[in-house]
Amino acid sequence: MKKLISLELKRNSLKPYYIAVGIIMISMLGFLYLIAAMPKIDPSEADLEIFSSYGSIIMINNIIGSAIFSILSAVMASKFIIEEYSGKKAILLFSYPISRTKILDAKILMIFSYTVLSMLVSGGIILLIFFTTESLFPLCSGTLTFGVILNSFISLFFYALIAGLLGVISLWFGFVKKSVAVTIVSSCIISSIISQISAMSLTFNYFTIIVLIIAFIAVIPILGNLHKQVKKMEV
Amino acid sequence: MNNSLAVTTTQLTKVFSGKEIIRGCNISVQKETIYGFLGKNGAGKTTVFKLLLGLLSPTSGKATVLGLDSVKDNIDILRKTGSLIETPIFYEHISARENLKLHLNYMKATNGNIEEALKMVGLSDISEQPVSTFSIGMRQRLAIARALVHKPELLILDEPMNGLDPMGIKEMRELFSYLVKHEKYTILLSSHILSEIEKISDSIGFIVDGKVVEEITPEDIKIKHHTIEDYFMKITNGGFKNEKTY
Ligand SMILES: Nc1ncnc2c1ncn2[C@@H]1O[C@H](COP(=O)(O)OP(=O)(O)OP(=O)(O)O)[C@@H](O)[C@H]1O
Ligand SMILES: [Mg+2]
Repeated sequence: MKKLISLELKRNSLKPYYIAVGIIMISMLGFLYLIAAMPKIDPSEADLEIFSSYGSIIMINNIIGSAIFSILSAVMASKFIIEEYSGKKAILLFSYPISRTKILDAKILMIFSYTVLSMLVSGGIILLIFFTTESLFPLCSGTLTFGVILNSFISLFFYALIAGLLGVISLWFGFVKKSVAVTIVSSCIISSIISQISAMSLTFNYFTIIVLIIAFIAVIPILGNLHKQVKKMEV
Repeated sequence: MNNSLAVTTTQLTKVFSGKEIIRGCNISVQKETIYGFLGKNGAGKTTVFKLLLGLLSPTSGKATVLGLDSVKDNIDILRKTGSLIETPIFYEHISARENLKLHLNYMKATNGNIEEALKMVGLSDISEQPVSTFSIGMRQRLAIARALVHKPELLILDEPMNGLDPMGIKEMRELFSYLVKHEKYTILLSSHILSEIEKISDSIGFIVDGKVVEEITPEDIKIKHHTIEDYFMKITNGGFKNEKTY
């Protein structure tokens, strides 16, 4: 499996995705400060009340991060999976004396790991920067405790996993249709639905874990079905 | 099971959307020979090759390649076979040499020789160029190099002379003869160029509407049917279905 992933990386560079993660990180950081400052910008607006606690600010940040990274995952899946299995290109993949499911698993694992890790790293850096400046010159009126910081990182971890899993789910839609457009559009739809649901409760709690568990349970039959499809694919 | 046969199919049948494209096809290819597959467009040559390689699975019937079952032992067949099917696909942004290197890795081959393969097809000088800059003929040569770089026992080449200039065709013909005579290769190839198939093959299989109607040596064609062209026209128009309407 490690060998297969390294072969993937030899013929497809990850460089554009590093750049994408960099850009996402900078925009997310800006966004985080923006929502933190929101109640100060317009104190008369009562609806902005929700932005005055760290819990909900970080929650929004992580939900949006999760949506963005699941779309990034779908873009990667389009390049590494959908394109390579569409049309005549699959002849090359299927001519290798390696089980078809193993090659597909390597690709999925690579994309999943990249999505989760890049969200953890960039999200982690964002939180560190934010909490450092907050402890010096607070924008948010909430109280910054160790518990708040710990919860933020735990929530980041869960949403990174959710992003990776959502990426696999949209890959499935794209794979059935062998279409890049379907992959990306479905990732946008799925991530916006999940964001809506997650945003219904704006504090990190069991709700996040339920979303994660549901995404995880959905991915199991999806992997099974992808294996079945790739095994009986004819080119 | 006859040990001197590299490829056999028995009553091989493939149905695409309700239509029998390959209909009870039987072929047998002797080891260490060149077998030429002839048939008009749409006769089913590419489809038979894909069935042998497990890219398609048969609707019924059986194909045996190097003593292995085309469905059950697909992975083992792929390891011992080199193939070129339709227009070859490459990793475009990397060089010819890098493409071959990756291929060896995927083929899990330890005794491959990239330099030798590039030399055999005459690509040594431009092996560092990205494949996206290659002409059609150069791509075809690279595809042949890729098919044999891992030193397989069997080559399955679908129209390998496509896009090659007359020099290239002659070089490849000499290369194929060399591989069979000195390196114990078996080669199964298809082509539309009758004279080419006649010159290169030890035996020729004529496929008409998904069925091999005759397997014959070039010498016997001359004796029995005068020229291969006459014979090809006669056999592929079997029953005078395609009478001239102009
Ligand atoms: N995946 C497919 N689905 C439906 N029909 C197919 C499929 N693949 C091939 N066919 C049909 O099978 C027939 C044989 O095709 P094949 O490509 O094997 O012919 P061929 O002998 O290689 O022709 P050519 O000389 O033009 O390369 C054609 O009529 C083609 O339309
Ligand atoms: Mg063909």
